[in-house]
Amino acid sequence: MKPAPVDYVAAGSLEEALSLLAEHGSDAKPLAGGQSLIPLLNFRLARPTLLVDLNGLGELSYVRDGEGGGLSIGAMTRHSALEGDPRVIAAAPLLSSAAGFIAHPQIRNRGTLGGTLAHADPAAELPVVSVALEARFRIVHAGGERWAAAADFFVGLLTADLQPGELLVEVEVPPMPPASGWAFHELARRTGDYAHAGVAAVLTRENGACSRARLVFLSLGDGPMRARQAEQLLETQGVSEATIDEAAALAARSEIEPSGDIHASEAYKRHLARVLTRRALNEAWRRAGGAA
Amino acid sequence: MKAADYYLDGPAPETPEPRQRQDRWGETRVVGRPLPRVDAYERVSGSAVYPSDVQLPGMLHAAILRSPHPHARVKRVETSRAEAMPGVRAVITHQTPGADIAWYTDREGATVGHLFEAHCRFEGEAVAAVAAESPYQARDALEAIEVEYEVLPFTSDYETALEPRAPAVRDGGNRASEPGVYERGDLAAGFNAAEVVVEETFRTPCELHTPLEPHGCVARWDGNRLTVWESTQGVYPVQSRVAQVLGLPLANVRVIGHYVGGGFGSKLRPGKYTVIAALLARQTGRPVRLFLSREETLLCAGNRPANRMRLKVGAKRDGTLTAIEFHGLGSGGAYSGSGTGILDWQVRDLYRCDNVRCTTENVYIHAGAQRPMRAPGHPQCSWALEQVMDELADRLELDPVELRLRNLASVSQGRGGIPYTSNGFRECLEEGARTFGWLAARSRARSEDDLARGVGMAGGLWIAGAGGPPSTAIVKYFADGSVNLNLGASDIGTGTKTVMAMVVAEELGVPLDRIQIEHADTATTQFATASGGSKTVPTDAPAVRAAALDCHNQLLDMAAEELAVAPSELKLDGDHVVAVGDPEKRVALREVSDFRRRQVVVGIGYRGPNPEGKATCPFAAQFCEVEVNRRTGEVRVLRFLGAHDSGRVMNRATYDNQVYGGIVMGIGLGLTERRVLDTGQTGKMCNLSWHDYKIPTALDVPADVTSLPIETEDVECNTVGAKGLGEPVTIPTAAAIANAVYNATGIRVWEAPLNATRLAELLAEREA
Repeated sequence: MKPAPVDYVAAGSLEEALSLLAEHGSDAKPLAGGQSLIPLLNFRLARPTLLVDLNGLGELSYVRDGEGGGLSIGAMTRHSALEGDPRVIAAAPLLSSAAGFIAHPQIRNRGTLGGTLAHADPAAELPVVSVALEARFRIVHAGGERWAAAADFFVGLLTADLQPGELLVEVEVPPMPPASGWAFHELARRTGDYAHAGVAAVLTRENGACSRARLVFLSLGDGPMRARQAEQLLETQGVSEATIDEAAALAARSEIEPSGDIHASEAYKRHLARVLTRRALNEAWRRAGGAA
Repeated sequence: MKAADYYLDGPAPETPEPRQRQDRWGETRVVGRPLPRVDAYERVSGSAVYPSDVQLPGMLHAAILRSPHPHARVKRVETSRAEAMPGVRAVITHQTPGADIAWYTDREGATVGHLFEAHCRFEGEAVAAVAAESPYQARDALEAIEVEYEVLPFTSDYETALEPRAPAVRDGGNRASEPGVYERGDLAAGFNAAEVVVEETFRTPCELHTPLEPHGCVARWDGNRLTVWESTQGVYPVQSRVAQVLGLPLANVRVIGHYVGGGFGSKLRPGKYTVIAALLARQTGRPVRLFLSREETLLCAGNRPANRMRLKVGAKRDGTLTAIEFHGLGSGGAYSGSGTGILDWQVRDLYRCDNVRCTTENVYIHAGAQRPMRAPGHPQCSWALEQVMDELADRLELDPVELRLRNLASVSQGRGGIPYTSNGFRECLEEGARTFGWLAARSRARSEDDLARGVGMAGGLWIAGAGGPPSTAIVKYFADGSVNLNLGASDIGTGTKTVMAMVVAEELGVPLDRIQIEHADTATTQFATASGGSKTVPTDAPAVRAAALDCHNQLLDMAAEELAVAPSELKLDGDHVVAVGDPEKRVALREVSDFRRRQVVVGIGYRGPNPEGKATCPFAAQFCEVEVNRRTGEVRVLRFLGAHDSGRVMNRATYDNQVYGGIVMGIGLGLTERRVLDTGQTGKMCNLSWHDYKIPTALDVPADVTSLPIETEDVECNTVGAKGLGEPVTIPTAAAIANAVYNATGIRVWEAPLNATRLAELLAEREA
């Protein structure tokens, strides 16, 4: 299919983009990489009256050193840049690793960090990673700006905490605490498909114990699904083969809300969540310098 | 039953016998070499003009409005709002004069469906069509057509279609025909004699053809002459159907095919789109382009029917088969009664067995009509038969290859015991196993952590692949030694043009870059049947060879006069003619005075008949190694080997590409592809996109695929010795994967595609 008629403006500046978005409200859609918006338009599932193209805004595409070893990343940074940027690989390896799981290289060359976060697809990798890394988002509108924590930003199925006229422009990724290990695993039917299930894990090791655990799932609920009970279990009982098994079982049983689809049943997704969690926790703990 | 029934309307009239004696080729100079395609540059540079690339001055763009319901009656169609939209030039429905055209007929010839149907029997049934200045305006106009549907109950599950409460697709109910029965020997006696019996029920999914270029055409009228640029496997079948439907003389319908971006059997005939484009073009007086959207190609451009197969096989302790009983069920959709076409052929023909009974049942469901898909019936049958053979081998503690070798058939049992012109099945099995390293791989350690490795194999044959008349080809040899080759066949991506040019080069010694090819055009090229059934090379290459030899002989005749040497004493040597015994006696072709005056020699070649009382079939054996994750049920195919007896290898490169492509398609059947209908609530297709209908991508298939030609010398099948290749290469693939998964895990999966969810469950049950 082809898109319904739609007006298009290539924004020449951030100010112009914001003023157009303010003027047209929910009838306007910002166009970043088009990874999801273009198919939605072509299937006529989305029918905005105005597209505000952000691709000319080079100032929104950057990776900069942030505070205390973290990173500041412009919203128009492409997935392929996240995947290959040495600073991202060094400071946020979970982010660069997860970016490599997104679809196919052609799509990663177009899709952007800000676009995938704002789209809030529960099957997307980077929302989950942003929650696991406790990222913060700078959100601007014609009259000002605000910051939102990743944990609060994803409010539901394809719904982010973004009002008409607002634009997510920057992602601040804090540094991982010292002696932290990470892992990202997902499983899809074919290479590049939306995953049946996926998980991001970050474990911090302190005096042999696990001082901090983050465990967040994709494709297993309405948005990034954080497994707080499983995290707590690891933080209180330490990381061992037994607690990893227990945490994985707990998370898969009661901290996700998968629904079955034509490719995988709910039971299978829960089973995968458990298997992938075990893999991820073992790997993250090894990277943190521990042995399960 | 003949495979030809699938591709032709009736028995083929034979073309005249070839006029030239055609000696068996000894050592060939050109044929067989891995030469690049003659049109490779055009294809990769984008300069090749596919039918969907055709742009004509003043061309309009058309789109078809389709029923969103699997079963509904159109109570009212209101087109006035669409007609008033900008750019819209025509809107047609079943009420438009001249558009009330009968399209589907039953076996008796009675009309059962129209071009635009008021009683919609599948999701995607055409209801109206629009032509507009741009494709966007056409799509917008479709949305402005108001249709009032009376939504009716549907039947979308073929397995329950015969239950009394299933809504009827046709007036006569959902049974499409009386069950087909094939029987030989004494089944009961055969099972009594059996010492081991294996019996299982198998299911294969409905698969979709998914060619890269969608189905469609560009149609243009010049007075009462219609020209159609159609993405097709055969320009002549399109010409005859369009002429018949529109009441035109054949000579007034010109169909141009040239390039086609894949068909796999779904483009053997024209679609409704062809006729709709012609009607819209006639009404508007403008050329009309009508290509289906990707979604439309998945709904209404054919499919491989899903099948349920029950197979029972008895054998003696030594592995000798004593009885085979097969029952198959399938549905060709709402408008085709053929859901089990040639489904049971390999049961009848592949392994030696005296006592066989096959029954097949066909039902209607509210879904799009099937079309032949790469080896119709055969990969499905293979999924059942080859898994049962594997199971039998296991129970008898025989190697699976050995069990098959013990049951080789020496004649075509399904054809009443006539011999094959050649049969390389034994060599496929033996040399395939040897090259694959079968015995070593079978005895290797199976598992490491969560990963289990296994190997599997399967055999197969394809019912057709002999080819046959009619085929006519023309070779024009110009005075400067360059050549035009003229033939009607489509090159559906298999390398037909390249292979045919190589045949000309073989006989005339002309380099490939001096040969230009005209093909797939009803106005300017010779009659050809559609390229399907793995028969294009065995059908058309002999005609091309005959045409080249006709040129060759005429050239020698002319030179003989010049040199005063008998033609039989002469041979062609590049652009010279030389006396065989006296190399001093030679003349350059351009110096032959007769030839200089004529400027061109025209050779005509015909395809002669196939040998009487003999069968010609390609044979196959494939071997693979897989890795199964015992936690997740993921199956990764690590390597594949295809050993194929398709007679002479005409071009090793295009040959190998066929093998790779067939295996990739078979991996789709085995692991990922299936059409999903919502049998419960809506009857609609649930995976109407390439996102949810999962074709394996390059990253999902092994890099390690070996093509092992078993080049059986077949001096009887035809004058080039080649048998069909395009379909046998996909027949055993899925079954080989299933057998490898069993070898790795001890678990058999009877339903394709092999579902990771189910496999993970079974693995978990086993561990518990």
